[in-house]
Amino acid sequence: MKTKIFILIVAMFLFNGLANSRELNDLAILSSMGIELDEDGNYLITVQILNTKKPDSSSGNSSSGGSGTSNVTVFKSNSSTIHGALRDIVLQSSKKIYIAHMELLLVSEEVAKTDMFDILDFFIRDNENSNNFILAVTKDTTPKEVLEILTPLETNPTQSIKNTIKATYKNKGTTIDNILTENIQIMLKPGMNMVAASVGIDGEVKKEEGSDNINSSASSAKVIAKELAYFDKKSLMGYLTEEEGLYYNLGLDDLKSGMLNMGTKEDGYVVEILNAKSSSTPRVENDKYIIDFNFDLSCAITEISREKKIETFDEEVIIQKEIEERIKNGFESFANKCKNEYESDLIGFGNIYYKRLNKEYEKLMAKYGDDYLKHIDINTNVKVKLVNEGSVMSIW
Amino acid sequence: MVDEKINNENQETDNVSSFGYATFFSTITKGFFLGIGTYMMFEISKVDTYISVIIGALTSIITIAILYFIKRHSESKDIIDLNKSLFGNVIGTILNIILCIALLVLIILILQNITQFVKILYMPDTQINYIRILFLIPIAYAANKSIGIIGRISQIVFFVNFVMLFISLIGLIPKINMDNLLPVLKDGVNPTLRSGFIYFILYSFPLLLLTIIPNYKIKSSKHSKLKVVIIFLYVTFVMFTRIIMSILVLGQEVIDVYRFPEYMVLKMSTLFGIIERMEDTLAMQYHSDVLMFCIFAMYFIMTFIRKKIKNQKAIKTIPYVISIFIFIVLNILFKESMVAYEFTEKYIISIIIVGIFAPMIITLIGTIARALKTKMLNLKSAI
Repeated sequence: MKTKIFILIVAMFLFNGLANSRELNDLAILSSMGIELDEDGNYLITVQILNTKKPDSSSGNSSSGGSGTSNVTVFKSNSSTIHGALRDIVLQSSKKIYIAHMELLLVSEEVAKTDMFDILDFFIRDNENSNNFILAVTKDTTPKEVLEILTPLETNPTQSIKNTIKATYKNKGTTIDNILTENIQIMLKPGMNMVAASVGIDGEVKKEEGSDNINSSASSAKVIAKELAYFDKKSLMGYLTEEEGLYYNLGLDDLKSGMLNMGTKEDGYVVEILNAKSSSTPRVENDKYIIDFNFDLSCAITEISREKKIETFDEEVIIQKEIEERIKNGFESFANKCKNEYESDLIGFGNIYYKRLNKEYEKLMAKYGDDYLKHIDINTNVKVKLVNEGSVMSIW
Repeated sequence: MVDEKINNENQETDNVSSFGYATFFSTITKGFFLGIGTYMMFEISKVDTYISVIIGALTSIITIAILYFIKRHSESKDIIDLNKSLFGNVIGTILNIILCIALLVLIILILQNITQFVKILYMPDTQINYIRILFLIPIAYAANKSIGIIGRISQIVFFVNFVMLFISLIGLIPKINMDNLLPVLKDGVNPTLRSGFIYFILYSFPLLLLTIIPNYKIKSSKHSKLKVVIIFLYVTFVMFTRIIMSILVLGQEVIDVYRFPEYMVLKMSTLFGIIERMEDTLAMQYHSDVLMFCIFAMYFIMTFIRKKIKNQKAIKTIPYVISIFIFIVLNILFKESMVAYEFTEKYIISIIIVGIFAPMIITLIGTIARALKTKMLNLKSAI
């Protein structure tokens, strides 16, 4: 009995998970981070910390805008390494940065053009880090400027940017919302290169903006989701167009919804893609490497000009054919651009061979090496079903 | 009256129920996979590792057959007494010592692995020695108890792990990508077979340790064998699920990056899109697997020592003495984590084959020889 009590007492002191315990008050919970380069070539880290300070209720206005206090605080720090810069923030902040709830990582174009493996190593290696954050490149701006903008619709600006990216992905299909694990998977896949979401600023960023951005309904600067950024194995190469982003998602069977403006302003119409299914089959014929893409789309006509008619079945078939033609040409043009202009296997033609015809993939790589992409042709077959032309039956 | 009651209670706890015995097939067999077995298997057979599990499980039936054969012809003796009766005092004791030393080395290696796992992923700021003591105390305490109590611990661990597995599965199913299983058998069947061999070795050898429980200590019931079969199939399902979920959710490319992919995949588990970051809780199933193996291995060593030392008070302190010895060895030999890791990867299979399988095969041969001899004698006397 005495031994048991002794062991219990010893064990109580030795349960030293307490050495690792941290009070919530001691943590600066980081919601987003930006990485760019300063003049000396060191990393300049901008972090957005959730402000856990209780708002001043005596002003009678508990909203962040009215009282003048923000729900987030921004810190900046620079160092030759990312972890060094993060740790240096403690020189300004009273709390240690807690990175486990990070939701967004912004990377400047300059940094994205260096080795992304080096940038992401810290986030993969440290266990406390979140794996669920979205990676985005800041187009024509810097992470510092993006993170300093307060947003009118969400109290947490990071949530606003993240939700903007997600909403664009779900409703327009021109961007992606991949988290870190998915990005790493694509980066490491043989025969495929990464793309990342990008964000930019619409409007003018004023220096002393303070709470002006959220006090006015027509705020001067907004963070917007932009076109997809594409990479070769590890560095940023450029940006796709909006429509190419849609074809990218279509090619990867990841298109949730999208929109196409067909025709001209006079006789045009708008097609909403409600549902899309894609499949790809690789084959080798007479030493030629061909991938057959099959797209099955359900679409709706949501807007139509007076010059365009869709009153009879024949007219519907014509429109169906036009949409199929547009998607087929658009996708093939995007694929050709990937081969010749971007020189980056974004849709993963090589990876399709790697997974489905591995022996042929090895022959392809042995024969052409890194130039394999130019020797893969595609064959596109599109089927469009018009499920909805709206509630208007004739020209009104 | 009170003494009778205590004696009856002692007799009860000294026997393990048939279900408790069956749960040993699950709880003591999975300890060597986290960070060691699965890492080695993924390195060799990559995306086809799930096929190795099936191959390994099928070949493990051989080990179960060996176990049952030895138990059937053990004349209600445990392996310690059986070795002595088969080969005489000297050779029998040598075999038993080899088994005990091998088990001691395996406890050291598996403890080093799990403490590294906890230090890297749970408590990076905590002294590693605290974590080692945290694991050694329950191992030493439980190893002092009777097999009946260890059987009950095993049953509790079995049910808790079942719940953890169920929650992990529900959280991971939405994240599955079937494309991650391709390409199938890219490098042929060889890597899968090699990987299956590793599974067979790491899964099977703890089963042979069950020979430490003599038959009279196992309460027989109507469906004892059926329970063992069901739990064996369940364990195969658990290991298959752990590996295939890692592949389907993370993909081979991401698995190659991490040392503990079966933990990393739990990071992706979410319940109803709301409950996230459950990986630390769900990974308790891995800790309990290791603890159960260590408890059982320590019980094995204790049983051998009990037969040598008669002093009851001294016997009770032996597990603590062994724990202190393990603690000192860990501090001296494995100051750097990479040293331990490389040693384990290089030598663990050899240690198990030489230290566990070889003595058990010798015991099996001795048992077969005696069984044949007995049969011959019976035939002669019948004639």
